[in-house]
Amino acid sequence: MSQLFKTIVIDDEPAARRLMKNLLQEHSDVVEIIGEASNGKEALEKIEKLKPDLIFLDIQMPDLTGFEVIDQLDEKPNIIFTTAYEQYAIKAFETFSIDYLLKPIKEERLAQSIEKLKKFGRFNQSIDVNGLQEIIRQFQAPKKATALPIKTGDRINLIRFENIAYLEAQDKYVCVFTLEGQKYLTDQSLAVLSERLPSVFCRIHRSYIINKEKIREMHRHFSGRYLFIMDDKASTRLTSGRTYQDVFRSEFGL
Amino acid sequence: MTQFELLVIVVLFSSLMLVTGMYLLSKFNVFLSRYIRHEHLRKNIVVVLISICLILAVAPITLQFYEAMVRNILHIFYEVEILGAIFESLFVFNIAWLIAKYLRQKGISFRKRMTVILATVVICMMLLSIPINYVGNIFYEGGPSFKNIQFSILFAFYTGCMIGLVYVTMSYVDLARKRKLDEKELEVARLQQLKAKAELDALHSKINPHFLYNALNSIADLAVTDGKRARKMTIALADLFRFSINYSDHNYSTIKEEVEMTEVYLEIEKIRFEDQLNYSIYLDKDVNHYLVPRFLLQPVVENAVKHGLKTTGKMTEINITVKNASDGLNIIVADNGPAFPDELIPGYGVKSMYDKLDLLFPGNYEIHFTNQPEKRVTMNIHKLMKNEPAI
Repeated sequence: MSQLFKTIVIDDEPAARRLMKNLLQEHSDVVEIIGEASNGKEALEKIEKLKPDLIFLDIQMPDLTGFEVIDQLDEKPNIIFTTAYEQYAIKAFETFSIDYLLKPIKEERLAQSIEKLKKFGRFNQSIDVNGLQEIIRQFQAPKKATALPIKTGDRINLIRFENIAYLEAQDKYVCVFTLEGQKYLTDQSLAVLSERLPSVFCRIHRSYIINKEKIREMHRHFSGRYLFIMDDKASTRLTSGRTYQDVFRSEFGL
Repeated sequence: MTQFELLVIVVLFSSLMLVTGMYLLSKFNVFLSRYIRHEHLRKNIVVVLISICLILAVAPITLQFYEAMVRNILHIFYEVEILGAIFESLFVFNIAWLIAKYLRQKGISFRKRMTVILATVVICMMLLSIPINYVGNIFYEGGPSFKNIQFSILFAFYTGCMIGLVYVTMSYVDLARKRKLDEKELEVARLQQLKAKAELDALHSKINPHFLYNALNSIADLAVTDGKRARKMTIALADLFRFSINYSDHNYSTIKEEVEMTEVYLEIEKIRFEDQLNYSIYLDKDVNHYLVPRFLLQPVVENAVKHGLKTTGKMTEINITVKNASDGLNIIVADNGPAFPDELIPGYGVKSMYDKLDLLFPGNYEIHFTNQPEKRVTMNIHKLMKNEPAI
């Protein structure tokens, strides 16, 4: 009899782990379950300790994704992914995993995976995971920020970009003005904030960043400056600074 | 130059002035607006120009005109008329303007307003004609006197009526235009509401399909290992999807429905994560029938569950509170997971919460993320609705 694949089942749902273990009993001639883990951290610990030949890995877990778990492993065992997600770059992770199983898991499909494992599975050697970084990057495609979090005391206010008319630096603080005329104070600098704002925001002055989509009128002012009338409730008037005029001129195509 | 030729020139000149005056009148709201920013100053200037044009236009039909022509002092006549027109128009316009502003602030009906303004203009013109006549006589008669005063007043009454009626007509045209604009705006608002509904429909349909697959995967196990739980979960799952599949055409649902749906959802999660999740729900007595956007609560709770489960080895506690506060309805979802980061990036759940409230309670809600004394999201809806709105 050939060598058994020592296996760890990793899934955040107890029932899912149990199901997998039960289904694998049918294949006890190929795999031997030596442990289970209910989250990414536990998985890392157990894999390092028990050195399995195979892991059944859930992709979506609360603390770490399956991909991040693999990324943090020094020695990477054979992998079979289990996931409810169909749309993720399945093609890409086919290249370094034995197989992937869609939940709910079918017995026939699992049998196929075991066949594949018998064919391609390797013992005692770390597998190559080409393109893993790429997948992690895709998988965690940075959520597009839609709002600016402003902390006031214990509260965090989320001010959505589309509601911000302009930001004004005052002494040590920056005031965020909404279209409705509400004012939020933050102690972050304008420079720091400008990095977190999307490209519709434009610095026009040492003390001002404005929302380009919320400009009602622009007027030529003295010595190359511009007067902006904002589309907020108060029709705020802001004048551009001389040092910033090149920046916004190119932005507005002036 | 015979008198007839002079008269022809005067008539042609007057006609030209009439046309110019009418043109200026029609452009009253925009003329010179590119050069003079100050609205009131601009209007004063335009009014003076218009009244000079019009006074020159009607000059040939006045009594003094013939007298001046006979006495060959037409230039003096025109000087007096223009000066008079300037003073008269400035005086009358500003008084009428003040009164119109005052009346508009008071919110008096259009018809009453127009009557008052018309009367003001006529009376002002008549009153003003007295000093103008008095001063004018210096030029005509060589000394101040009230000669021909009755004619001046009568003529002032006539021109006052004319000017006043022109103003009323213009206001009426403006009003009609505004009404049309309002109708258009109303149409736009209606379309926006339709769009909002479509957007909400799109938001509703987003019950996470992975949630279904994962739950079914659990059932596949429970069916063999724990039949009772499998049954419980199947029923809960059916209930949850009944909420999302069978939702009628309404954008709103009651707090009762929202809480029921959330509870069903939490039941499923509780079975899925056996013993790792606990929840409690507290409702004020009289909040059950308030209306909130449909599916407002569940995504927020789903977030709390997800983040709560991140801290491993610890029971996730979710507390939902809905209470009546002085400033409206407070919906609080608290959990014992890791604190909100300062750099909070809204994901689907948070975004959908904002979107739904924006569409249905624009400007009437607040959302707060708090870490102290406990981690929680508070939705505060100021404007409360109890009955089904007609949307």
